[in-house]
Amino acid sequence: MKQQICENEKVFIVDGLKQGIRRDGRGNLDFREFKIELGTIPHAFGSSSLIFGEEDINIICAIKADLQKPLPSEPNKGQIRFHLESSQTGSSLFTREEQSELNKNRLTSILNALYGNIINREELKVFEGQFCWFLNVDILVMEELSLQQIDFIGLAIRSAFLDFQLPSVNATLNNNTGKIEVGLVEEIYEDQENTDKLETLKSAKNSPYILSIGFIRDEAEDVVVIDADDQENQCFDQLLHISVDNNLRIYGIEQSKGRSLQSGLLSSKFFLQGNLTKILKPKIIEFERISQKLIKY
Amino acid sequence: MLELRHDNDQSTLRMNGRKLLELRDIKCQLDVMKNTSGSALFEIGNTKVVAFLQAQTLGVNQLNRGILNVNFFVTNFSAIEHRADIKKDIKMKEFTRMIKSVFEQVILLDLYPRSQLDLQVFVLEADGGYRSAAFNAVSLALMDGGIAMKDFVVATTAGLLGNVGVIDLIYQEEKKQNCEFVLVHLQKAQKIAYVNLNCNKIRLSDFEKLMSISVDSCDKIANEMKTAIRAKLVKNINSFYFK
Repeated sequence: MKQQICENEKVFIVDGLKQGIRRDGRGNLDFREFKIELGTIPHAFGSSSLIFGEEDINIICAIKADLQKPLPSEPNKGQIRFHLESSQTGSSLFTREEQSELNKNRLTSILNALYGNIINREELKVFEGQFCWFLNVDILVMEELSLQQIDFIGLAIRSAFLDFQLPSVNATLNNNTGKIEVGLVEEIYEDQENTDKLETLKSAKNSPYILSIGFIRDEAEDVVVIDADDQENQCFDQLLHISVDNNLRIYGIEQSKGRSLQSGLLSSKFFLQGNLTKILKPKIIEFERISQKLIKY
Repeated sequence: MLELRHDNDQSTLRMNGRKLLELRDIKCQLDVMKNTSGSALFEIGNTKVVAFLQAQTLGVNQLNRGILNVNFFVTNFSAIEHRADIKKDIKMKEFTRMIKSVFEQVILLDLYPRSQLDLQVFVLEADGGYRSAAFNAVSLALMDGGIAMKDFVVATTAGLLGNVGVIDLIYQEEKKQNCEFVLVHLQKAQKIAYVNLNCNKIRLSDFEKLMSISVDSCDKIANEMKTAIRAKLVKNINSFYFK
C-alpha cells in the first residue's frame, strides 16, 4: 500500500461514492482504461503486455511450458504455477522489504485460488501418468505491487492464454527399451522448411475474468464499487475478488478485507434475486467484445 | 558452424548471416514510461533491456552527496528455458555491484545532496550480450533524466570463434565459444571503465585483438545512441517553440 489516508479523507471518498461520484470522474461501476497487446515476447509460448490507468502501469505476462511427470493424485492433469515479480526496490531506503513480500504472497495466493483452473487442465495431458505439460506463468509488474492491480493482472494472464500455443506431440512406446517416448509432430510443406505443428487450447476462450468488488455498509443500501484504486480500497468494509467466465459461472471467490463474510452481507440483497448478475453481466459483455477483437489481430 | 577459408577472412558469414565485425540492428527509445524521472529501452537484435530512474529528494539521506541505488533483474521469461531462481544468483548480485561502481564514478553525485537515485534495470529478453546492453540502457536512461555526468558510457561484448575475433555474439555463439569479453568504454576520455573476461587460456595477442575490435564497435554503438538522443532533443525544442 503506497500511503495511508486519514479519517477525514476517508469520509470525503465514502460520501462521494454514496452519490456515485469518484475522484477520477468514473462512475461506481466503471473500469479504468487499458490497452492490450499480444505476442510481445517471442521466446515464450504465449505472451501479452497490458498498460492501464492514468499512471500507465505496465504489466507483462509470459507463459513457458515444460514436459514433466504429473502428480500421482492427478495423473491426467497438467500443472500451472504463477510467479509474480515487480520493480519493488527492496534495497531502497524508502520501501519496506517485509511489506512488499507480504503483498506478493497475498497476490499469488489470490491468483492460485481464482486462476488454478483457468483452463481445462486435462488438455495438458500427453500420456496418462507419464507425461504432462507443466506451465510456468510469469508476471512482471513495473510498479509496486498492490491489490488495485489484481483485475488487470488477471486480464493480462487471460489474454496471454488466448495467444498461447502448444506444439503437438506424439507419445509412442519404444519396443527395445520398453519406455514411453515423446516426439514432436512436424508440418510438412513443399515450398518451405518444415516447422513444428502448433495448437491452441480450446478452453482458453472460456477462461474466467477477475473482478474485484468493494462494499460499503450503509443503512439504506449497500454501496457497490468495481475496480477501486489504492485509496478507495482503504475505505471499504469488505473487498471480494470473484472470477467469472462469459457464461456467468463462478470459478472462485476470495475475500481480502473485512473479518468474515458477515451475516449482514450474506443476507443482504446483493447475493440474492439476481443482483450479482445485474452488476457482472455488462462488464463481462464489454470484456468479451475486447477479447474477440484481440483474436482477430 | 563457422568455417573459415583463411584465418582473418572478413567475408565469411556467421550463424545468422552477419559478417565477423557486423553489429545487429540497434534500436534506442527514450522516455518509454510515464511517472519516472527518466527511462529508456535499448534493443540490440533480440536482446531487450529496459532501464528507468526514480529520483527522490527526501530527508532520509543526510549526506552532502547523493546515493545511487541499482536494482538489476533478469526476468524469468527472458531466456529460452524457464528459471525461477535467477534472482538469488550470486553472479547477478556481483554484476549489480559492477553497474553501481561504474556509474558512481561517472555521475556528479556532489550536485545532488540529500537525495537518492534509484535505478531499475530489467532484462526482458536475453539473446546474448545482455550485460553490455544493460550498461547502454542505463546510460540512456540517465541522459533522458537529465542527470549530470562526466562522460558517455558505452559497452560491448566480443568473443573468439576459433582464433578469429568477433563482436556482438548471439546466444548460440556464446555457448559454443570459450571466451566471453565485456568492455565498458568512456567515450570522451577514451578510457576503459570495466573489463570482464571469462575464458579458458587465450594468447596475449588474441586479447589485444579483442580490445581493439571492441573499442571500434563502441564507437559505432555510441553513434546510434547519440542520434536517438539528438532526435529527442530536437523534438523537445520544436514543441517548445511551436506551441
